[in-house]
Amino acid sequence: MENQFFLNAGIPTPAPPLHFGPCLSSPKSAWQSLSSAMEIHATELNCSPDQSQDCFLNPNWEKSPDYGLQFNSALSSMVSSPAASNSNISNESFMIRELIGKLGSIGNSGEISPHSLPLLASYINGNNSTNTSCYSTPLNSPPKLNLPMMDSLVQQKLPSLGKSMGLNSSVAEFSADPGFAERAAKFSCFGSRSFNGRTSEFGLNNNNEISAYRCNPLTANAKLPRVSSSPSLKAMGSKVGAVQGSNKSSPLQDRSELANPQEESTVSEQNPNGDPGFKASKDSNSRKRKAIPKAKTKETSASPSANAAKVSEANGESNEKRTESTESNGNENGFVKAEEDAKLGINGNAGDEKQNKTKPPEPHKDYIHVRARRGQATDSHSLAERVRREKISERMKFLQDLVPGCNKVTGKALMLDEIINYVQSLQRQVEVLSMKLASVNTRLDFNVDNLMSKDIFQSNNTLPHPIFPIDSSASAFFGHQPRQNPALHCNISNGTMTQCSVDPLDALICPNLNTHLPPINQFTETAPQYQTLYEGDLQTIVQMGFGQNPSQEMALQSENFLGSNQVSHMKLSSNNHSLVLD
Amino acid sequence: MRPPSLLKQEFLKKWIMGLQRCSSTKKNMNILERKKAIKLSADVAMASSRNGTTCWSRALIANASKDGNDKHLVEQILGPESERLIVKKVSIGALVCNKRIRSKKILKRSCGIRRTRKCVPQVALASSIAKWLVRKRTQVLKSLIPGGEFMNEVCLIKETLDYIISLRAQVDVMRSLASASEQVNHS
Repeated sequence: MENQFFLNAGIPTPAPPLHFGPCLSSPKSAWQSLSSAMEIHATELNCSPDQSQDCFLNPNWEKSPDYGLQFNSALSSMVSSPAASNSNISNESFMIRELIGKLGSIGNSGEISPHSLPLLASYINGNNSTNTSCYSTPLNSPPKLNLPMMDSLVQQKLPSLGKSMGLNSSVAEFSADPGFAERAAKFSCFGSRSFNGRTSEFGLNNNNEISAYRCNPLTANAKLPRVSSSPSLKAMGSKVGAVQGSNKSSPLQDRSELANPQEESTVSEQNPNGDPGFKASKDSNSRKRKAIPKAKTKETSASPSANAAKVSEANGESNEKRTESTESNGNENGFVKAEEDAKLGINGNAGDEKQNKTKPPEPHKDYIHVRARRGQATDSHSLAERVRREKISERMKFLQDLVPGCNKVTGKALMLDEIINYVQSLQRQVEVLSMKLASVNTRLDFNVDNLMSKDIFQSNNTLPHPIFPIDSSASAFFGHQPRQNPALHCNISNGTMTQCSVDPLDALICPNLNTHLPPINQFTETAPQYQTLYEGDLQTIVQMGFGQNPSQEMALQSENFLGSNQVSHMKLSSNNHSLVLD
Repeated sequence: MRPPSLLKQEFLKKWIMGLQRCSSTKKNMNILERKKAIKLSADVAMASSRNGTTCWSRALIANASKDGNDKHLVEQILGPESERLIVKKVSIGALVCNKRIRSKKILKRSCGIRRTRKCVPQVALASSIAKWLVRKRTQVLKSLIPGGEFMNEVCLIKETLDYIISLRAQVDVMRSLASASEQVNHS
């Protein structure tokens, strides 16, 4: 594979492969697996950035000890070998360059390419953080901020390498090597086209680490599938986040969060001067999907600082990713836009020159002043529409908190689904409970309400807000049908509404039925004279479902209640009997 | 928003009051009638706790008082506010809403006519599908919430919020009452 690799690139295999032969045989398989894994990942670009990044990085880390050891031994053998005379240094440096270039080229979608040098250091260190900090330097930027760190690390850990073989020098040689860029570019048969773009720029811009990233969108133009570049940029974003602070990296990778106030804060922190074009690119992102690369290129070329470029790309990509994901979920554009715009509008950074939607602070105005954002339509209809959309999205957020299980759902349609289900289930619960109460109490008398009210509000706190206990109680009502006498089914024919409403719960009821039947059977046999079948069943189920302890206070009133019950006892039992048997 | 315990207490009070009035009027009710009475009084109590501030509560009361049998019950539960809640706001609200609905229908018809003349590409865009889905679900939600057909989307979501909160409180109170009465019966 190695030879193939080199042949494809049109480069002769290194002259003395003796040092590297044994060392590289094991990494060869590792590289093969890496490349295959990478190709798989390159094709399945729907996996989340987190996932993809992990997939990309994890194989690296699994193989890293091998690499570290192998390369350490290789390098040290090179250094310490007596044959490492000046005449051979060029060869060795060439080999090192090839190695590192290969490492870099195998880097899928360009993530590992800048990893290669810091990876060497980090393999030795086993330290992930240095990896991320060193990430920002491409191979060809010699005396930049992270390289000295790496140098120190390298010198700490590889004293045998000596200063002459310091990676710094090799990096300097990289930059000086004119053919390196071509070779690295040719190595990109493994990587995505974004990497191609990136590496092709390495030779051009030696001292500017920014441009390596900046030129990425320039070369990776519209034909590049956006999603393929996004994992790399997500990684970039994550690295940037790691550099900036741990709390900011998570929002960049958090797809479920549609817009990131923290992301905004990173932008604001890094762009204190304000970057109107950058913000506009974000807005235009939300509007026009096709124009996103162009917008990015415009903005990234305009931005002076490296951080801005990185963050813009990361943000732009995350925006893209977000819009893509949400649109693939079948959302309307407006909603995504509204959410993004809402979030962007809400944050309203101080240094922002972006035209935010401003709610006027003066309350005496009757209407809301809305400013059109750059790149968006300015007619009153669309403005009003946008206001309306933002209101809706705000309220949907409240609903998300209210409805359980809505947090993971993104998108209007799905959330509306959840809301509908929840409202329907609540209404059904009301029905079931009213039926239950009707059956329990024949005369609709709740004489003990004074005492009960205390108990109720105490127990209200302890009661969970469940669906299943209600289902279990519903099973007591309606779950016995198949077993018992079907002839009495017509008694509750008028209650078909409630029955039908409970039918969807049957799926939930079924697991509960089996647990409930045995105690009920027991109870039917040993039903005391005083208690009806139904009450006993309900009692067991209630106890199982609610797990409440009978209160002592109720004992006082219970006699009173039971006294009143005795009169209607026969009626109660007959009524309940018909109910149970149905 | 009021604390939920206050809401629940108010609801319980009104509910039991309504139930007592119910039982005083009719002596022997079968189980279904009882259930209906329970549910009705619960709903009305819930709605009246809102004091006519929300649309769904007004619509609920209006629907309840449409039926002649229940109207008395509703009036009894609501007490002195009944005229205020039932007569004035609801009727006016219904009128306004009907007008709005009619005008919307006219508008839709005219837009539809206009659209058929344009050659709209028949490609099913993701956005249009999404919009259709959302519209479908909004319709379902409107059918669920009392008085929901008369609301636009913004109000609908607000009303849904409020309705969910009150439904939850209602369910909690009913459940605890049911369990408490079960315990009483058992012991």
